[in-house]
Amino acid sequence: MVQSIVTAQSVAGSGLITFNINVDAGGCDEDFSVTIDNETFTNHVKHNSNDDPAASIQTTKGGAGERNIVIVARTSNKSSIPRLINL
Amino acid sequence: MNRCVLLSARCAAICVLVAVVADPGLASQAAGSAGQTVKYSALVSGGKLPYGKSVTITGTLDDLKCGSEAVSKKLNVTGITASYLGESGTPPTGTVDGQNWTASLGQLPADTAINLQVKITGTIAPALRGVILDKLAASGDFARDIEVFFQMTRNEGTSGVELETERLMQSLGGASGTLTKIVQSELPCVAAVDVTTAATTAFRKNLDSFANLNHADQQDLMAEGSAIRGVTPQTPPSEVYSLLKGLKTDADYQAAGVSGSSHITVARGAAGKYTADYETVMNNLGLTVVSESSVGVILDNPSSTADLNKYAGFDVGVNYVPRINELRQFDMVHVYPFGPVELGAGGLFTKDWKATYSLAAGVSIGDFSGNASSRIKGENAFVYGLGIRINKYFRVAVGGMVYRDAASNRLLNEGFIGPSIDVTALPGLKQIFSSSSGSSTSSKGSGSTSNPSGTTRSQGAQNGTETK
Repeated sequence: MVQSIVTAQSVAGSGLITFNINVDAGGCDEDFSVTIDNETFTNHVKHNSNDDPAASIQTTKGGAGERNIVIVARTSNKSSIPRLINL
Repeated sequence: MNRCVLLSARCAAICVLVAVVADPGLASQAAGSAGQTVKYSALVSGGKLPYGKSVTITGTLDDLKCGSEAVSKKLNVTGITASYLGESGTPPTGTVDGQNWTASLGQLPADTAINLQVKITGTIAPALRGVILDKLAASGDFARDIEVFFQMTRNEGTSGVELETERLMQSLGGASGTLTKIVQSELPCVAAVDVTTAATTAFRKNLDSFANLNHADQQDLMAEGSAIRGVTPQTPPSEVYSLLKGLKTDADYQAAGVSGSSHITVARGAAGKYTADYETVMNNLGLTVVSESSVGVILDNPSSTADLNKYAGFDVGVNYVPRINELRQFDMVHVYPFGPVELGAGGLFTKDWKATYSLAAGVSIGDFSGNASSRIKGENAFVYGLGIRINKYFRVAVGGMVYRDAASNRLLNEGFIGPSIDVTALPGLKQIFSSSSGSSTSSKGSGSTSNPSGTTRSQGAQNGTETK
């Protein structure tokens, strides 16, 4: 299960959102999504508890500028803190 | 007027006086004469401003001193204007060209106290930025400003952060702002520091750091699985930053309550994001704002315009004629043969001797000593001679008196000496015989130029205090 989603960020212009996840001993195997301008982007992430915690979601919003985003772990039903990033 | 002189010497002086009063062209010629350039250094050292024509002040940046310190040592001077207290118009912007500057002051009234204000704008010089940043870092006011900013932006969106940033900039700049006070401690003549433009620029460049630091960044440090002990929603950012700077090794993170390599990686990432955003915020508030802020400096210079320059004066006095032993009243017109002179000038042994001496002619109209058998037939006599100014109002005249002898009926000439008062120096009459414009008293030879702006500014509330 996903415990938390932190430090979402993006290299401006890339549209790629990277973040870190904390998982419990059982790890996770689920979809992560982010909704930007009413458009939802999803990526499936499979992590064991000792894996590199990095994860990402590719969007088509590169160059869109600053957006307040929330990343959601769909199965674990966990959300990141809203964060302003420059897409 | 000539007819009056022929008819009666008594009439002569009065006729001249009436003629001049009736001719405003002589008393106060139309404005619009060429402007005059005055050196700022001459004004600072006590020189007077010229009156009646457009004044342009020039100088070098080194002339602009706050106390004993040249303003240019601490500021990169970018703009300058000159005005005077009570002026109702908007002073035109002057020019700064390398080390030299020029500012127009417009036309000024004569013989008036002028509180000259030179307003300088510029940015803080590189040498001073470090000093100011150190003082900002040590400032309790600045720390409080930042804490208030962080409190007010907690859980705020972009618009809320923008609003609070503007407030923070206002508390830094302005007349009583923290940054203004610090800059004033280095340069007391600073009136205000305008940080709005610089702050907005810095803020827009780093919007995400400003917006995330106190909300997402801090919350991430408390995320389930990688929470760092000691960080709470109430922990001040400066304490969080210090705490995170102390976490270097995995062991440090373990000591802070984070276990497992994956969780430590997450915690390290969150700590890195927080410290990076904190430093971005502080650097922008400090370095960028300090370096790009517009600093306003006001230099006050109490001065005055030159006293009226007079072509002539009209004196009333008493003369003593030794050879006939008479003490008589006389009225004389004194003409300055070397051109108009400043009323304030004078003194028997002044260097400006041309302003001291005058040629005089007039009439003696009566005995002053109660002489029952005056030698002067008809009481009237023509007097002429040399006037020697003692000060603004008083003069001594020496010369001759031509009169018709009552005993022999011959026309005789006797020497006389006597003090007199220049009635045209009195406030109500001082414009009589005066030049419509005058030179500055300590910058003669500095050259003349036309007013570059061509503007004429009124004096508004400036009172007409005389400089005696």
